[in-house]
Amino acid sequence: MNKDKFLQTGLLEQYVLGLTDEEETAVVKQYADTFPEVQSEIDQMREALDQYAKQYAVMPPEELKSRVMHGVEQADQQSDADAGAPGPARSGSNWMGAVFLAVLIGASLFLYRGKAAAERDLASLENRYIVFQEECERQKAALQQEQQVFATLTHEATVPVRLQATGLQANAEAVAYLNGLEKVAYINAGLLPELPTGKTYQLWADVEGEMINMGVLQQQNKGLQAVSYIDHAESLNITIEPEGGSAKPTVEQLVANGEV
Amino acid sequence: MAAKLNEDKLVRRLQAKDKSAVEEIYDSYAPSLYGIALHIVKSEAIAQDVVQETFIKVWKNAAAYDTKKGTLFTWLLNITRNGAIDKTRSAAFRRRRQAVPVDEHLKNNHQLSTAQNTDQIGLRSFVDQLEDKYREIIELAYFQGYTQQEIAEHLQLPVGTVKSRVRIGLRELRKIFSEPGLTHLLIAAFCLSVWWFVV
Repeated sequence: MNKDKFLQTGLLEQYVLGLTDEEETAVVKQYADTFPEVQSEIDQMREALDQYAKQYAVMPPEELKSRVMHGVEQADQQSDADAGAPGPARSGSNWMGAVFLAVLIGASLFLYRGKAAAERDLASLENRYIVFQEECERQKAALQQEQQVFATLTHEATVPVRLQATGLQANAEAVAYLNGLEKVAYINAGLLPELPTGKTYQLWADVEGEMINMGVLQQQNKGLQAVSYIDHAESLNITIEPEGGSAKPTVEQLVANGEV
Repeated sequence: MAAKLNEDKLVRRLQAKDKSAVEEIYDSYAPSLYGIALHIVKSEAIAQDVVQETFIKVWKNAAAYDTKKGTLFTWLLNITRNGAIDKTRSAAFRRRRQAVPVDEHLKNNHQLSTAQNTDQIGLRSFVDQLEDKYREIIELAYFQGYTQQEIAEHLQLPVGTVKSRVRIGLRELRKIFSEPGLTHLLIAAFCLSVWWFVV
Protein backbone atom coordinates (compact mmCIF):
# COMPACT_ATOMS: atom_id res chain seq x y z
CA MET A 1 0.00 0.00 0.00
CA ASN A 2 1.43 3.40 -0.90
CA LYS A 3 1.66 6.04 1.82
CA ASP A 4 -1.16 8.27 0.49
CA LYS A 5 -3.52 5.35 0.44
CA PHE A 6 -2.33 4.37 3.90
CA LEU A 7 -3.07 7.86 5.20
CA GLN A 8 -6.65 7.45 3.99
CA THR A 9 -7.26 4.22 5.90
CA GLY A 10 -7.83 5.99 9.21
CA LEU A 11 -5.42 3.62 10.91
CA LEU A 12 -3.20 6.55 12.01
CA GLU A 13 -6.09 8.20 13.84
CA GLN A 14 -6.96 4.92 15.55
CA TYR A 15 -3.29 4.50 16.42
CA VAL A 16 -2.91 7.87 18.16
CA LEU A 17 -6.10 7.23 20.12
CA GLY A 18 -4.74 3.87 21.22
CA LEU A 19 -7.41 1.92 19.37
CA THR A 20 -5.14 -0.27 17.21
CA ASP A 21 -4.27 -3.85 18.09
CA GLU A 22 -0.70 -5.16 18.12
CA GLU A 23 -0.65 -6.09 14.44
CA GLU A 24 -2.05 -2.74 13.32
CA THR A 25 0.35 -0.88 15.63
CA ALA A 26 3.29 -2.68 14.03
CA VAL A 27 2.06 -1.67 10.57
CA VAL A 28 1.71 1.98 11.60
CA LYS A 29 5.18 2.01 13.13
CA GLN A 30 6.64 0.52 9.97
CA TYR A 31 5.05 3.22 7.81
CA ALA A 32 6.13 5.94 10.23
CA ASP A 33 9.71 4.71 10.14
CA THR A 34 9.72 4.54 6.38
CA PHE A 35 7.89 7.79 5.55
CA PRO A 36 8.68 10.99 7.43
CA GLU A 37 5.32 12.40 6.25
CA VAL A 38 3.54 9.63 8.13
CA GLN A 39 5.54 10.38 11.28
CA SER A 40 4.75 14.07 10.82
CA GLU A 41 1.03 13.26 10.57
CA ILE A 42 1.26 11.28 13.79
CA ASP A 43 3.11 14.13 15.52
CA GLN A 44 0.50 16.65 14.44
CA MET A 45 -2.39 14.49 15.60
CA ARG A 46 -0.66 13.95 18.91
CA GLU A 47 -0.05 17.64 19.25
CA ALA A 48 -3.77 18.26 18.68
CA LEU A 49 -4.64 15.66 21.32
CA ASP A 50 -2.11 17.24 23.70
CA GLN A 51 -3.77 20.59 23.18
CA TYR A 52 -7.16 19.00 23.66
CA ALA A 53 -5.99 17.40 26.90
CA LYS A 54 -4.40 20.62 28.16
CA GLN A 55 -7.80 22.22 28.17
CA TYR A 56 -8.75 20.11 31.14
CA ALA A 57 -5.88 21.56 33.17
CA VAL A 58 -6.72 22.12 36.83
CA MET A 59 -4.44 23.62 39.47
CA PRO A 60 -3.48 20.74 41.78
CA PRO A 61 -3.47 21.36 45.53
CA GLU A 62 -0.18 22.86 46.67
CA GLU A 63 0.79 19.89 48.84
CA LEU A 64 0.80 17.58 45.82
CA LYS A 65 4.22 18.87 44.76
CA SER A 66 5.89 17.91 48.05
CA ARG A 67 4.07 14.56 47.90
CA VAL A 68 5.37 13.95 44.39
CA MET A 69 8.92 14.94 45.34
CA HIS A 70 8.71 12.74 48.41
CA GLY A 71 7.49 9.86 46.23
CA VAL A 72 10.43 10.37 43.86
CA GLU A 73 12.78 10.46 46.83
CA GLN A 74 11.30 7.19 48.13
CA ALA A 75 11.43 5.56 44.72
CA ASP A 76 15.10 6.45 44.57
CA GLN A 77 15.76 4.69 47.85
CA GLN A 78 13.76 1.62 46.86
CA SER A 79 14.95 1.44 43.27
CA ASP A 80 17.70 -1.03 44.09
CA ALA A 81 15.39 -3.28 46.06
CA ASP A 82 12.60 -3.51 43.47
CA ALA A 83 13.42 -2.34 40.00
CA GLY A 84 9.97 -3.40 38.82
CA ALA A 85 6.75 -1.45 38.65
CA PRO A 86 6.24 1.04 41.47
CA GLY A 87 3.76 -0.03 44.09
CA PRO A 88 0.73 2.03 45.00
CA ALA A 89 1.72 5.61 45.74
CA ARG A 90 0.30 5.39 49.22
CA SER A 91 2.47 2.42 50.20
CA GLY A 92 5.44 4.74 50.67
CA SER A 93 3.61 6.92 53.11
CA ASN A 94 2.08 3.87 54.85
CA TRP A 95 5.52 2.42 55.32
CA MET A 96 6.73 5.74 56.65
CA GLY A 97 3.67 5.87 58.88
CA ALA A 98 4.45 2.44 60.35
CA VAL A 99 8.05 3.43 61.03
CA PHE A 100 6.91 6.71 62.48
CA LEU A 101 4.39 4.93 64.71
CA ALA A 102 7.03 2.44 65.90
CA VAL A 103 9.45 5.26 66.65
CA LEU A 104 6.68 7.11 68.43
CA ILE A 105 5.78 4.09 70.60
CA GLY A 106 9.46 3.48 71.33
CA ALA A 107 10.01 7.10 72.24
CA SER A 108 6.88 7.08 74.43
CA LEU A 109 8.07 4.00 76.33
CA PHE A 110 11.53 5.48 76.70
CA LEU A 111 10.18 8.79 77.92
CA TYR A 112 7.68 7.04 80.20
CA ARG A 113 10.49 5.05 81.81
CA GLY A 114 12.49 8.21 82.15
CA LYS A 115 9.54 9.97 83.72
CA ALA A 116 8.92 7.11 86.20
CA ALA A 117 12.61 7.12 87.20
CA ALA A 118 12.56 10.90 87.56
CA GLU A 119 9.45 10.67 89.73
CA ARG A 120 11.14 8.08 91.97
CA ASP A 121 14.22 10.27 92.26
CA LEU A 122 12.09 13.27 93.02
CA ALA A 123 10.17 11.44 95.77
CA SER A 124 13.45 10.25 97.32
CA LEU A 125 14.93 13.73 97.13
CA GLU A 126 11.80 15.21 98.64
CA ASN A 127 12.04 12.79 101.58
CA ARG A 128 15.69 13.61 102.10
CA TYR A 129 14.90 17.29 101.85
CA ILE A 130 12.24 16.96 104.55
CA VAL A 131 14.70 15.08 106.79
CA PHE A 132 17.34 17.77 106.22
CA GLN A 133 14.82 20.48 106.86
CA GLU A 134 13.74 18.87 110.12
CA GLU A 135 17.35 18.39 111.12
CA CYS A 136 18.03 22.00 110.28
CA GLU A 137 15.09 23.17 112.37
CA ARG A 138 16.29 21.04 115.21
CA GLN A 139 19.81 22.48 114.98
CA LYS A 140 18.40 25.96 114.79
CA ALA A 141 16.23 25.44 117.87
CA ALA A 142 19.15 23.89 119.76
CA LEU A 143 21.40 26.78 118.80
CA GLN A 144 18.78 29.27 119.91
CA GLN A 145 18.46 27.49 123.21
CA GLU A 146 22.23 27.42 123.66
CA GLN A 147 22.40 31.11 122.86
CA GLN A 148 19.65 31.79 125.33
CA VAL A 149 21.44 29.77 128.00
CA PHE A 150 24.72 31.49 127.19
CA ALA A 151 23.01 34.88 127.39
CA THR A 152 21.59 33.96 130.78
CA LEU A 153 24.89 32.64 132.10
CA THR A 154 26.75 35.76 131.04
CA HIS A 155 23.98 38.02 132.33
CA GLU A 156 25.20 40.35 135.11
CA ALA A 157 22.26 39.38 137.34
CA THR A 158 23.14 35.65 137.16
CA VAL A 159 24.47 34.17 140.37
CA PRO A 160 26.27 30.81 140.39
CA VAL A 161 25.54 28.44 143.27
CA ARG A 162 27.96 25.63 144.00
CA LEU A 163 26.31 22.59 145.60
CA GLN A 164 28.73 20.50 147.69
CA ALA A 165 28.39 16.84 148.70
CA THR A 166 26.96 16.29 152.16
CA GLY A 167 29.03 13.11 152.59
CA LEU A 168 26.13 10.76 151.99
CA GLN A 169 27.34 10.14 148.46
CA ALA A 170 30.87 10.82 147.28
CA ASN A 171 31.41 13.33 144.48
CA ALA A 172 27.78 14.49 144.59
CA GLU A 173 28.47 17.99 143.29
CA ALA A 174 26.63 20.34 140.97
CA VAL A 175 26.59 24.00 139.89
CA ALA A 176 23.37 26.00 139.56
CA TYR A 177 22.86 29.45 138.05
CA LEU A 178 20.04 31.71 139.23
CA ASN A 179 18.85 34.90 137.57
CA GLY A 180 16.35 36.78 139.70
CA LEU A 181 15.82 39.41 137.04
CA GLU A 182 14.61 37.05 134.33
CA LYS A 183 13.38 34.42 136.80
CA VAL A 184 15.33 31.55 135.21
CA ALA A 185 17.43 28.83 136.78
CA TYR A 186 19.85 26.24 135.30
CA ILE A 187 21.74 23.40 136.87
CA ASN A 188 24.57 21.23 135.58
CA ALA A 189 23.51 17.80 136.86
CA GLY A 190 25.90 15.86 134.65
CA LEU A 191 28.53 15.78 137.38
CA LEU A 192 26.31 13.84 139.84
CA PRO A 193 27.14 10.12 140.32
CA GLU A 194 24.92 7.68 138.44
CA LEU A 195 21.89 6.32 140.32
CA PRO A 196 20.40 2.78 140.20
CA THR A 197 17.23 2.44 138.12
CA GLY A 198 14.05 3.52 139.92
CA LYS A 199 15.86 6.42 141.61
CA THR A 200 16.26 10.06 140.59
CA TYR A 201 17.81 13.28 141.85
CA GLN A 202 15.42 16.15 142.73
CA LEU A 203 16.26 19.84 143.36
CA TRP A 204 14.67 21.86 146.13
CA ALA A 205 14.77 25.51 147.17
CA ASP A 206 14.78 26.29 150.89
CA VAL A 207 12.58 29.34 151.43
CA GLU A 208 12.22 30.23 155.09
CA GLY A 209 12.57 26.61 156.18
CA GLU A 210 10.18 25.23 153.53
CA MET A 211 11.48 22.98 150.74
CA ILE A 212 9.96 23.96 147.39
CA ASN A 213 10.28 21.65 144.36
CA MET A 214 12.50 23.01 141.55
CA GLY A 215 12.29 19.89 139.41
CA VAL A 216 13.56 16.39 138.79
CA LEU A 217 17.07 16.25 137.31
CA GLN A 218 17.61 14.33 134.05
CA GLN A 219 20.87 12.46 134.58
CA GLN A 220 21.31 11.62 130.93
CA ASN A 221 21.39 15.34 130.21
CA LYS A 222 25.10 16.11 130.43
CA GLY A 223 24.82 19.86 129.92
CA LEU A 224 22.87 22.58 131.63
CA GLN A 225 19.27 21.82 132.48
CA ALA A 226 16.57 24.42 133.03
CA VAL A 227 14.74 24.15 136.35
CA SER A 228 12.02 26.22 138.02
CA TYR A 229 13.16 29.51 139.51
CA ILE A 230 12.03 30.08 143.08
CA ASP A 231 12.16 33.53 144.60
CA HIS A 232 13.91 34.15 147.90
CA ALA A 233 15.67 30.80 148.01
CA GLU A 234 18.19 30.67 150.84
CA SER A 235 19.80 27.44 149.72
CA LEU A 236 19.53 24.80 146.97
CA ASN A 237 19.31 21.10 147.93
CA ILE A 238 19.50 17.83 146.01
CA THR A 239 17.87 14.67 147.37
CA ILE A 240 17.51 11.13 145.99
CA GLU A 241 13.84 10.33 145.34
CA PRO A 242 11.88 7.50 143.74
CA GLU A 243 11.60 7.80 139.92
CA GLY A 244 9.24 10.60 138.87
CA GLY A 245 10.09 12.67 141.92
CA SER A 246 8.28 13.38 145.22
CA ALA A 247 6.01 16.18 146.52
CA LYS A 248 8.08 16.42 149.71
CA PRO A 249 11.83 15.87 149.92
CA THR A 250 13.27 12.77 151.58
CA VAL A 251 15.57 14.71 153.89
CA GLU A 252 17.54 11.57 154.85
CA GLN A 253 18.63 11.31 151.24
CA LEU A 254 20.07 14.86 150.94
CA VAL A 255 23.24 14.38 148.92
CA ALA A 256 24.30 17.97 148.12
CA ASN A 257 23.48 21.54 149.06
CA GLY A 258 24.76 25.07 148.69
CA GLU A 259 23.98 28.55 150.04
CA VAL A 260 22.59 31.11 147.63
CA MET B 1 12.97 25.72 18.41
CA ALA B 2 14.35 27.33 21.57
CA ALA B 3 11.60 25.61 23.54
CA LYS B 4 12.60 22.29 21.99
CA LEU B 5 16.24 22.87 22.97
CA ASN B 6 15.25 23.72 26.55
CA GLU B 7 13.13 20.61 26.68
CA ASP B 8 16.06 18.49 25.46
CA LYS B 9 18.21 19.99 28.18
CA LEU B 10 15.55 19.32 30.79
CA VAL B 11 15.24 15.70 29.67
CA ARG B 12 19.03 15.26 29.78
CA ARG B 13 19.04 16.56 33.35
CA LEU B 14 16.19 14.20 34.21
CA GLN B 15 18.08 11.29 32.69
CA ALA B 16 21.16 12.34 34.68
CA LYS B 17 19.02 11.87 37.82
CA ASP B 18 18.83 15.57 38.62
CA LYS B 19 15.83 15.96 40.96
CA SER B 20 15.50 19.66 40.23
CA ALA B 21 14.51 18.61 36.69
CA VAL B 22 11.54 16.72 38.17
CA GLU B 23 10.53 19.88 39.99
CA GLU B 24 10.72 21.92 36.82
CA ILE B 25 8.70 19.35 34.93
CA TYR B 26 6.17 19.34 37.74
CA ASP B 27 5.89 23.12 37.73
CA SER B 28 5.35 23.15 33.98
CA TYR B 29 3.00 20.23 33.51
CA ALA B 30 1.35 19.32 36.82
CA PRO B 31 -1.85 21.31 36.17
CA SER B 32 -2.37 19.63 32.78
CA LEU B 33 -1.57 16.17 34.12
CA TYR B 34 -3.66 16.61 37.27
CA GLY B 35 -6.54 17.99 35.20
CA ILE B 36 -6.44 14.99 32.87
CA ALA B 37 -6.22 12.52 35.76
CA LEU B 38 -9.13 14.26 37.46
CA HIS B 39 -11.12 14.26 34.23
CA ILE B 40 -10.62 10.51 33.94
CA VAL B 41 -10.94 9.27 37.54
CA LYS B 42 -13.26 12.02 38.84
CA SER B 43 -11.75 11.87 42.32
CA GLU B 44 -9.27 14.41 43.61
CA ALA B 45 -7.58 11.89 45.91
CA ILE B 46 -7.16 9.27 43.17
CA ALA B 47 -6.06 11.94 40.67
CA GLN B 48 -3.35 13.01 43.08
CA ASP B 49 -2.23 9.39 43.41
CA VAL B 50 -2.11 9.12 39.63
CA VAL B 51 0.05 12.26 39.33
CA GLN B 52 2.40 11.04 42.02
CA GLU B 53 2.72 7.63 40.36
CA THR B 54 3.30 9.35 37.03
CA PHE B 55 6.27 11.28 38.36
CA ILE B 56 7.69 8.20 40.05
CA LYS B 57 7.49 6.34 36.73
CA VAL B 58 9.01 9.34 34.95
CA TRP B 59 11.87 9.36 37.44
CA LYS B 60 12.46 5.61 37.22
CA ASN B 61 12.03 5.26 33.48
CA ALA B 62 13.62 8.51 32.34
CA ALA B 63 16.26 6.59 30.44
CA ALA B 64 13.59 4.93 28.29
CA TYR B 65 12.27 8.25 26.99
CA ASP B 66 13.49 9.20 23.51
CA THR B 67 13.07 12.86 22.58
CA LYS B 68 12.87 11.88 18.91
CA LYS B 69 9.73 9.84 19.45
CA GLY B 70 7.54 12.65 20.71
CA THR B 71 7.40 15.63 23.01
CA LEU B 72 8.00 15.38 26.72
CA PHE B 73 4.43 16.40 27.36
CA THR B 74 3.07 13.62 25.14
CA TRP B 75 5.12 11.13 27.11
CA LEU B 76 3.96 12.53 30.45
CA LEU B 77 0.39 12.71 29.26
CA ASN B 78 0.41 9.09 28.11
CA ILE B 79 1.79 7.86 31.43
CA THR B 80 -0.83 9.88 33.32
CA ARG B 81 -3.64 8.82 31.01
CA ASN B 82 -2.71 5.15 31.22
CA GLY B 83 -2.29 5.36 34.99
CA ALA B 84 -5.68 7.00 35.36
CA ILE B 85 -7.39 4.54 33.00
CA ASP B 86 -5.85 1.67 35.00
CA LYS B 87 -7.47 3.11 38.11
CA THR B 88 -10.86 3.19 36.39
CA ARG B 89 -10.46 -0.48 35.50
CA SER B 90 -10.51 -1.51 39.14
CA ALA B 91 -13.59 -3.45 40.20
CA ALA B 92 -15.12 -0.45 41.96
CA PHE B 93 -14.81 1.75 38.90
CA ARG B 94 -16.23 -0.91 36.60
CA ARG B 95 -19.32 -1.26 38.76
CA ARG B 96 -19.83 2.48 38.71
CA ARG B 97 -19.37 2.69 34.98
CA GLN B 98 -21.89 -0.07 34.37
CA ALA B 99 -24.40 1.59 36.66
CA VAL B 100 -24.27 4.93 34.86
CA PRO B 101 -25.41 5.15 31.23
CA VAL B 102 -22.80 6.51 28.85
CA ASP B 103 -24.66 9.73 28.04
CA GLU B 104 -25.09 10.44 31.72
CA HIS B 105 -21.48 9.55 32.29
CA LEU B 106 -20.27 12.05 29.70
CA LYS B 107 -22.60 14.69 30.99
CA ASN B 108 -21.20 14.16 34.46
CA ASN B 109 -17.70 14.49 33.10
CA HIS B 110 -18.61 17.73 31.57
CA GLN B 111 -20.25 19.03 34.70
CA LEU B 112 -17.23 18.14 36.78
CA SER B 113 -14.94 19.95 34.39
CA THR B 114 -17.17 22.97 34.23
CA ALA B 115 -17.42 23.11 37.99
CA GLN B 116 -13.67 23.33 38.21
CA ASN B 117 -13.42 25.82 35.41
CA THR B 118 -12.38 28.64 37.69
CA ASP B 119 -9.11 26.80 38.34
CA GLN B 120 -8.56 25.78 34.80
CA ILE B 121 -5.65 27.11 32.91
CA GLY B 122 -6.70 25.84 29.50
CA LEU B 123 -9.44 27.25 27.35
CA ARG B 124 -12.31 24.82 27.29
CA SER B 125 -14.12 26.66 24.55
CA PHE B 126 -12.03 24.86 21.95
CA VAL B 127 -13.30 21.50 23.11
CA ASP B 128 -16.81 22.76 22.68
CA GLN B 129 -16.08 23.52 19.07
CA LEU B 130 -15.88 19.79 18.43
CA GLU B 131 -19.19 18.21 17.57
CA ASP B 132 -20.61 16.00 20.33
CA LYS B 133 -20.58 12.84 18.24
CA TYR B 134 -16.83 13.19 17.70
CA ARG B 135 -16.08 14.39 21.15
CA GLU B 136 -17.78 11.45 22.85
CA ILE B 137 -15.73 9.02 20.81
CA ILE B 138 -12.47 10.80 21.67
CA GLU B 139 -13.53 10.90 25.32
CA LEU B 140 -14.24 7.18 25.43
CA ALA B 141 -11.14 6.15 23.50
CA TYR B 142 -8.60 8.61 24.78
CA PHE B 143 -9.76 9.26 28.33
CA GLN B 144 -11.63 6.10 29.24
CA GLY B 145 -9.48 3.61 27.35
CA TYR B 146 -12.38 1.93 25.57
CA THR B 147 -11.69 -0.32 22.58
CA GLN B 148 -13.49 0.34 19.30
CA GLN B 149 -15.74 -2.61 20.03
CA GLU B 150 -16.64 -1.23 23.47
CA ILE B 151 -17.33 2.21 22.03
CA ALA B 152 -19.56 0.64 19.39
CA GLU B 153 -21.49 -1.27 22.05
CA HIS B 154 -21.87 1.69 24.36
CA LEU B 155 -22.99 4.06 21.65
CA GLN B 156 -24.94 1.34 19.90
CA LEU B 157 -23.24 2.07 16.61
CA PRO B 158 -21.64 -0.22 14.01
CA VAL B 159 -17.84 -0.50 14.43
CA GLY B 160 -17.44 0.99 10.93
CA THR B 161 -19.22 4.17 12.05
CA VAL B 162 -16.98 4.38 15.09
CA LYS B 163 -13.91 4.10 12.84
CA SER B 164 -15.07 6.83 10.50
CA ARG B 165 -15.97 9.10 13.42
CA VAL B 166 -12.49 8.54 14.89
CA ARG B 167 -10.97 9.66 11.59
CA ILE B 168 -13.18 12.70 11.13
CA GLY B 169 -13.04 13.60 14.80
CA LEU B 170 -9.25 13.74 14.82
CA ARG B 171 -9.18 15.68 11.58
CA GLU B 172 -11.59 18.20 13.14
CA LEU B 173 -9.50 18.37 16.26
CA ARG B 174 -6.39 19.11 14.24
CA LYS B 175 -8.25 21.79 12.38
CA ILE B 176 -9.35 23.44 15.64
CA PHE B 177 -5.88 23.46 17.09
CA SER B 178 -4.04 24.40 13.93
CA GLU B 179 -6.18 27.33 12.91
CA PRO B 180 -3.94 30.29 12.11
CA GLY B 181 -5.91 32.52 14.44
CA LEU B 182 -5.44 30.18 17.40
CA THR B 183 -2.05 31.49 18.45
CA HIS B 184 -3.28 35.06 18.25
CA LEU B 185 -6.40 34.13 20.14
CA LEU B 186 -4.33 32.45 22.86
CA ILE B 187 -2.06 35.48 23.17
CA ALA B 188 -5.09 37.77 23.32
CA ALA B 189 -6.70 35.58 26.00
CA PHE B 190 -3.46 35.56 27.96
CA CYS B 191 -3.11 39.32 27.77
CA LEU B 192 -6.73 39.69 28.78
CA SER B 193 -6.29 37.48 31.83
CA VAL B 194 -3.10 39.29 32.84
CA TRP B 195 -4.90 42.61 32.45
CA TRP B 196 -7.81 41.27 34.49
CA PHE B 197 -5.46 40.15 37.30
CA VAL B 198 -3.56 43.43 37.33
CA VAL B 199 -6.72 45.57 37.36
